[in-house]
Amino acid sequence: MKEAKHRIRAFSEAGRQHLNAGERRRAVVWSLLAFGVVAVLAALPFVLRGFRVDRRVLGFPLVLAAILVVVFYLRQRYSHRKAVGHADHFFGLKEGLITADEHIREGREEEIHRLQLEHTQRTIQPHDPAVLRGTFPRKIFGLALLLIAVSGGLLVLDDSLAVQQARAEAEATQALSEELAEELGEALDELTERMDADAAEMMEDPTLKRMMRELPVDGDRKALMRRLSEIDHHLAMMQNELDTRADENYLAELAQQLRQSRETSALGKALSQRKYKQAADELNQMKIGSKDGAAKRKALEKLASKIEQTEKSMASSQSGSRRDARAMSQQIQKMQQEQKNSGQCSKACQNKVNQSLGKNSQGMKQLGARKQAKSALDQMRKKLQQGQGKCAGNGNKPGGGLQAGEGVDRSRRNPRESTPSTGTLEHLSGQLGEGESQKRIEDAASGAGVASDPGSEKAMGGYTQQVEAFVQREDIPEEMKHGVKTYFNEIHNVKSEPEEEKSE
Amino acid sequence: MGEESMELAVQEFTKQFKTMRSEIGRFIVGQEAVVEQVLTAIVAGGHVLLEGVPGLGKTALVQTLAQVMDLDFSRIQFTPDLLPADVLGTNIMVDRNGTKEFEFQHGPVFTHILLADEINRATPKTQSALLEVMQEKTVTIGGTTHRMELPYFVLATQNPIEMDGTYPLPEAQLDRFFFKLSILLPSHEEIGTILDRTTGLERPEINKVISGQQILEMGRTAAQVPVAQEVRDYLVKLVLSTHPENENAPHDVARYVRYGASPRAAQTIMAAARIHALTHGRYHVAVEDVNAVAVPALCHRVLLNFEGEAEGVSTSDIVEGLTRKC
Repeated sequence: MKEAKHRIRAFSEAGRQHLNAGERRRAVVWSLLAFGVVAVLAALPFVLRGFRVDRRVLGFPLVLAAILVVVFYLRQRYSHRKAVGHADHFFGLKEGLITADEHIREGREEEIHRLQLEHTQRTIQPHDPAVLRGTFPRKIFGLALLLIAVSGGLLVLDDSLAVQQARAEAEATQALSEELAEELGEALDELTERMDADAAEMMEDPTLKRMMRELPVDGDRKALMRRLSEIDHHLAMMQNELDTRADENYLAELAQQLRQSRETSALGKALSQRKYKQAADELNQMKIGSKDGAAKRKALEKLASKIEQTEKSMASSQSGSRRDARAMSQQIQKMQQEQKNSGQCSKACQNKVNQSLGKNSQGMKQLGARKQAKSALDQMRKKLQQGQGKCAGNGNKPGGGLQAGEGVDRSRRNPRESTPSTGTLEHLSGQLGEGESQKRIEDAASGAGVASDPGSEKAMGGYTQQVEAFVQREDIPEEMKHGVKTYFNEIHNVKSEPEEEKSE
Repeated sequence: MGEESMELAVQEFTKQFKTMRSEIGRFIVGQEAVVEQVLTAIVAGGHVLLEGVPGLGKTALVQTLAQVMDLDFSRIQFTPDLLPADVLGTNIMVDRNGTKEFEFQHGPVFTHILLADEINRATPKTQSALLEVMQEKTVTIGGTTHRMELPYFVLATQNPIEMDGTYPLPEAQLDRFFFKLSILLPSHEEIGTILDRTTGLERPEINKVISGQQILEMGRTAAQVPVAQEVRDYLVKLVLSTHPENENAPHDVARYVRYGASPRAAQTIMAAARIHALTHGRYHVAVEDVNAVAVPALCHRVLLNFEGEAEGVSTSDIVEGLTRKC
């Protein structure tokens, strides 16, 4: 009986070991397959997008495979009883091994148990427990090896040509953006150093500094171009704010009048030569003191009369110089009236005239500074446009322009959106006297109203948006953009003058 | 029992079983499975209900069995007017030395092998008279309990097609039968052999090959055959699966079965499986043994519902289906 027990126990244990060995083998093979599948799936997105496979992504399938081996084996491994049951069914022992194992475990030693153990011993004798290990899953193993080899092959693939070019382009863009930021910063510093304190103060703009600080980008050329466009747009706005054209036109006209009189010829000359600082000094010298006599008053009267004469030709001008000059002229006329009425000019009246003179003098000085600042801004914009040209790929090569095959396909613009016709088109005829009018009559009853067309305002807004969108587009050459901007600035100035005439 | 004696007992068991089978086979042609199952029931001390159309040899089988065994044999032909006293016996007044006294007159049930022929023709009252004797192997009349001599077997027959004037056996009585066996029509060759054996002048001579004591000894030997936990669990699961409310009950059981098998069915299967194992040369019970005896042990204990009856579903098919699924 002891021998039978020993043999059965040995058979069961050997069976268990072989079964577990088989399970370990299966766990490894299936894990290799899982590793291969996941590795290929993880590598494919890189390869399909043209990138070199990041080796770190293989960490996941590796960990997964390791976990899978452990979990698979722990779940599938055979306990003693499970192994006995499996061996019994596998060898067709008809529960003989299960029963014998139970006898051994329970320590049953009666005669019938001995007979059963001996019977089981005889039935297991022709069987080899090594068969329980099962056949090696060759097909799965082969597939796993194939997948691992494929994933290995994907690992050694380099970046595609397009990705390499894109990376080089990104690096170049980053370098260019840093270079442009530095160049623009230096240019601004240099211009600010050269100009007067007043002009330099006008150039102090936190928004501009912030925009220049934020100029460097991480390789996105479009973003760089967008930022350059934004800076250019901001500089243009600053330029518009510093516009001196109307003031200069007015002062030039005034200078012509002033040069005709001896008392004001020095001032007129300075203004005609656009030496506004000198003109401001001349104007300061015309201030009257308590001891000053009729000569200064006469000169001031001449100045006032010349301003009034200039008014006739420059009535439509909206310049600040004109407003200041008129105010000064009116003060001088008041002083003249007071002198005529009372024979002398009061201290208060003199002070007002002097204040008015001082204001005009200051305006002229400011005009000089504004002109200087505007000129600096213009230089900044030129510098910026050069940068935009570089960014657009022009000017990098001798002769500029894009090489063959690098050009922009202009015809690639999106076609205009057209409303698809749905159903039968029907024309609805309106009825007179009903519905809203396109025209709006404001204050018509009083007779002081102005007829306005809301549609034209909307259209104007639309044009403005179109122009802004156009100058911010990245596929338009800078030269063309500059031309468009200049064109619209010109027509804006021309258009504003007739409107002023109408309003007066 | 010593080590040698157990081995000898098992050998004796196998030998005697084979001897009985071959001796019965001298007269009964074919029906090997039925003969083996009847012998299994007898060794296990159970009663058998034989079902089949007339003329298939049900009665002949029981008579042959009685001849093979050195035991008393009685036959009762059940009819509708049969009374319980006709079966069990009754107290009659006798004159003994001038003194009149009641004396118990034993009925035909007082035997070792009782053939209850066409049992479903008797009224339920008479059928019920057999309940005590079949289960407790005792008869109680007039306050006196009479014990049967062992071994004691009831071998009943019934005809499944002539249903006029019959009384189907109640569930309680059906449950007391160890096996219900269906006798099928013999094959062409078997009928030819039957004709040869039964229509000539000479009839095969059947010898008594086993005593009642030996049958009881065989039963004790079989009862010692070990059953592994796994096999026992399988058996329990099989029996519980016959109940429609059980979670493991398959679709057919849930749909067609009204009541499943009782724990007595499990006892029957266990006992029969042990004998089946020994007769097939094993010292332990296998699932195969359980499946081999499941149909005769369960088919009369599983009751169909109305839908099952209407559809003509067979309980044997249901049980076979269970043995394949469990």
